[in-house]
Amino acid sequence: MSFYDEIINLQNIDTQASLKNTTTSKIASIIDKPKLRPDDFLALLSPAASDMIEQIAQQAYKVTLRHFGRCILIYTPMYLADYCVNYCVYCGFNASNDITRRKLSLVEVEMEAHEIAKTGLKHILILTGESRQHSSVSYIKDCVSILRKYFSSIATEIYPLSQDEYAELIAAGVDGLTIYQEVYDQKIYADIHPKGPKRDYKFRLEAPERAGQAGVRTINIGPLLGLANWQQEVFKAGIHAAYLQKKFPDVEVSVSLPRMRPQCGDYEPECPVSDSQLVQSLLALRLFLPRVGLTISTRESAELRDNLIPLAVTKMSAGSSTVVGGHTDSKDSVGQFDISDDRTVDQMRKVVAAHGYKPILKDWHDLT
Amino acid sequence: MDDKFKIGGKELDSRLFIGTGKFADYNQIPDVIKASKSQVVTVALRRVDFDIPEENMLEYLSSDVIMMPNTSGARNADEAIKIARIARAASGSNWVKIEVISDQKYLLPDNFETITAVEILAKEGFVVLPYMSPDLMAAKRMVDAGAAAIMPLGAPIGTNRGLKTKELVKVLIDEIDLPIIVDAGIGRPSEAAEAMEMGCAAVLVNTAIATADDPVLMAEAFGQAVECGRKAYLAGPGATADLAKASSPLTGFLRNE
Amino acid sequence: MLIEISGKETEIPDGSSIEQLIRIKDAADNIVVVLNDVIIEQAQWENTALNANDRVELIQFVAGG
Repeated sequence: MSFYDEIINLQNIDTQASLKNTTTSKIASIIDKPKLRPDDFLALLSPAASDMIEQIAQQAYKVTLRHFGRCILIYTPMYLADYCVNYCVYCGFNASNDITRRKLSLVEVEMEAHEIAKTGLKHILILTGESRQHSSVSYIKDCVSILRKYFSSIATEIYPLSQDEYAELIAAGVDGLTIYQEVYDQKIYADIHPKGPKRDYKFRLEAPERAGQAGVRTINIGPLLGLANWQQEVFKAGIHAAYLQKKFPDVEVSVSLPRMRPQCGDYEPECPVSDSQLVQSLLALRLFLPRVGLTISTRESAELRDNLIPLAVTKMSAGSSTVVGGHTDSKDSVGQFDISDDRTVDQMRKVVAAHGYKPILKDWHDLT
Repeated sequence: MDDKFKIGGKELDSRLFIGTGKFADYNQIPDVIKASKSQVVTVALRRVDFDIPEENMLEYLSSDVIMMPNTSGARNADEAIKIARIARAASGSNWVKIEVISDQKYLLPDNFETITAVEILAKEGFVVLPYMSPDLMAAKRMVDAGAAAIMPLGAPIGTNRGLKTKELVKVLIDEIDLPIIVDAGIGRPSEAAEAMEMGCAAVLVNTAIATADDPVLMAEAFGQAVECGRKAYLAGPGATADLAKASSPLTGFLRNE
Repeated sequence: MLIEISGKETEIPDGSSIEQLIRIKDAADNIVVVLNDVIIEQAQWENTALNANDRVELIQFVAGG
């Protein structure tokens, strides 16, 4: 049994009919429930729920406060390499895009790390494209051994690995895994991943479970919003997170809801997601999974992010660059996508504090 | 409504298990079982003592109820295993309630010894229902060891004090994919209904029925309470509303769209 | 000969079988016999002979929760 079996079962649910039939009085009763079932969660994504978004927000605010206090964890991404053998139609690193590719040398990794560490950040997310040739597991391990000197928590957002490979990375010092399914809808997944190893939907879907078996500390999953119907995608992501929480009680599970951003190439999102739909999704996830981490990245505008600080979110990136080597020198490279909130870590810390929240730079240090 | 309780290869209509201890008169037991509609009944094993003859419980149980011998008296896994094997030979039933008590003051179950006993007996083909202190990690290990259900206590055995462990039992209901059966502590039908409303698969009641002024009437009341609670659970209770509502708006920024 | 029944030394005729022991003690049929820590199925009672110093446990179901 894996989450793949659950996804197959979920296909039998007529989510559109449930969403359409949900009433505001149903939403009113769900908001006050001590524990939500999957169908309650789905109802919170309905049009009726969007009419009651303020009431849902008030509850989500309270639930978040109860479980997390007034804290926002701040981290930053660091791109190690942008070589990629996949042809994801929506991605700036698409193998067919004619861009100058680059991979950081270990010396450059150290320079980037040094630069980022100056900001005070202790949590870092390292990223590569999918290229076992350019960004092998052993290369990533070498990078991690350098980054360990600067950061107390290192998460990876790379191509899906085998359980043994995850164990290798964990032994090297990685404690977090971020992997987005991109789109849970299998048919759309096949359409937008026309070539390359990423076509294997199941191998990607089961990656968080392999990392969990390997003993990773945190897992962050999510759909890339804009590729398919947002309600179905958020619903499946929530069920996926619930599945992981149950299967790995010792793992800290988080969900991100990245929205499509302009990137190199001319792909336009099929199903654009509005601010209020994004907010509704975050609030629904919070009520369904009170303990789940919710991440909002610099893909989103400064204004929206500021408004989200008291609303369900627990982690934010800051001082981000989606360019390889972007923290030291970014003149001639192209990023994976354009960021929207370009405030520095220092600015972000002040903004979080001004909202009455504590910016957290470090909440983990492995003593073993 | 099709709501069979599937456990140990059986499909049950009743979600009330009955213990046979503490009855003033064994002759009440057949009527108690009938009034409660229970289909699973616990019994204990003892040496035959020729000086103080005790009646054999088998004489009072009809063949259409499932006998679930317990391992009461066991202080460790080895003793529980030995008792379970004897019970199977004697009853022909492969159901067993593991009860290992190494604490004679509070009579709390020993989760560690219980896990060991579950593992060995499940491998021998028993339908193992461990009585335990509601602890998530212990329950998970019992699941891995092959238990057929998890039976957390509601309050110390025989105290009739109700669902004192409610919050912990809720965690088990949420996280464990086996039937959760509250065993011990339930003193009133309303408490049995509460356990069922929470999502327990069944409850086991003994003292509350056996020590009632009218055990047969109380057995009927428990049977109905368990049914009521189950129906309420299936119906999905509405939530109690918070009286205090909204302070300053949190989503005003969205209206600019 | 002397054997131990449920922890008590008891004199029974030499060469008695379990079946005969049950009759002598006027015990019911629906009990379990454990001879030197081994459960003896009811079908074997008749052809299981007892020896001196055997330990016999006679066990029955009683009330319990």
